[in-house]
Amino acid sequence: MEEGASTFPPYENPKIDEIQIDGLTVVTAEVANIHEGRSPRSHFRIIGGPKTSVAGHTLVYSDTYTRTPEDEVYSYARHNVDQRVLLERLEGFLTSALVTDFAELVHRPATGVMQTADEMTEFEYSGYLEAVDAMKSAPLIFARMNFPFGDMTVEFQHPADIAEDEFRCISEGTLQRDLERPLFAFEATKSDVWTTFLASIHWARGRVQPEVLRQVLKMAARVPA
Amino acid sequence: MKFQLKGIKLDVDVKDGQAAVLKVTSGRAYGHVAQTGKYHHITPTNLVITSSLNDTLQLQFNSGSTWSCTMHFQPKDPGLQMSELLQCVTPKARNQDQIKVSVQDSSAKKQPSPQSDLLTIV
Repeated sequence: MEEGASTFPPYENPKIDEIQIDGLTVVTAEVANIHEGRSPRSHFRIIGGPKTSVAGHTLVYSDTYTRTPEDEVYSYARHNVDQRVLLERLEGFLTSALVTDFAELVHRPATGVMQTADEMTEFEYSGYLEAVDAMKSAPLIFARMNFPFGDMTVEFQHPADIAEDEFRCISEGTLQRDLERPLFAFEATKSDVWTTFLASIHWARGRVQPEVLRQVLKMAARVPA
Repeated sequence: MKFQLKGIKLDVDVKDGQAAVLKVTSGRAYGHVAQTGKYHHITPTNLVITSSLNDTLQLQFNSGSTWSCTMHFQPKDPGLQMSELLQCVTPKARNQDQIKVSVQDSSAKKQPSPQSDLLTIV
């Protein structure tokens, strides 16, 4: 098999729509009832529309799992910052969040996972900022932090994986499996608070107006009303 | 053999009971076990694990010289284990034999490098 070739076929028969979000043309693609793993899943992605500065590339992906007692929603998108920059911005975001919206987290232990090329370590620190500080000390390929409003994960890699133009597969009635990476991902079942942070590291942040990008990310997060 | 995939650890070993072994005896059967830790990632992933022997002269899976399994992972999934019977047949035909393992991830372009174990036949 060709190196890197996908073992799984592309998604079949996605439902495609073209819409406007605050003046930006985007294409939405949705595949329902994917039966791979323990829960049925619907996959959704928002792709930059034709003739835009982000044409043919996915701005954000999301998955909705049918689970008890409630459906679970996860959202993810490619970021384009290195580990140092991402952790500095995460520190800034958390510092602000701890002061304003999530004061209850200040005295809460932070749990998660840090993974280098050689090992994966589950951690618990006395606070979130201490955990972020610890993440700065090793070259990571993956990390996860658990939050009451929704866990987040982040990958680090260079160079990025850039998927081929989504419109080619769409024109053939399919949706490609390959994802653009490295990804920042979060659970959006209860809150879309991570969309603000994701917008600050998102690959398209220099090409799409910040407020429009946040609207796109919030649309994919699909937090129940 | 250990594979480091983002958000998940995967071990693929020949096992005698619970113990991983690199020495096998002709005439005995072993487990060829693929086992992961908890899935920490948030994106869904399908892993295809393929184990290959050079031939079936000394070692053989139930399925012949190749065994393949697929593991589906979603957020919050616990670890998974899948296994196949590995026979070391009689008579002893050689002193060493090799199992090569490769992993394909449906959502990543880059795959971990294939790995192999050299088993000593006794």
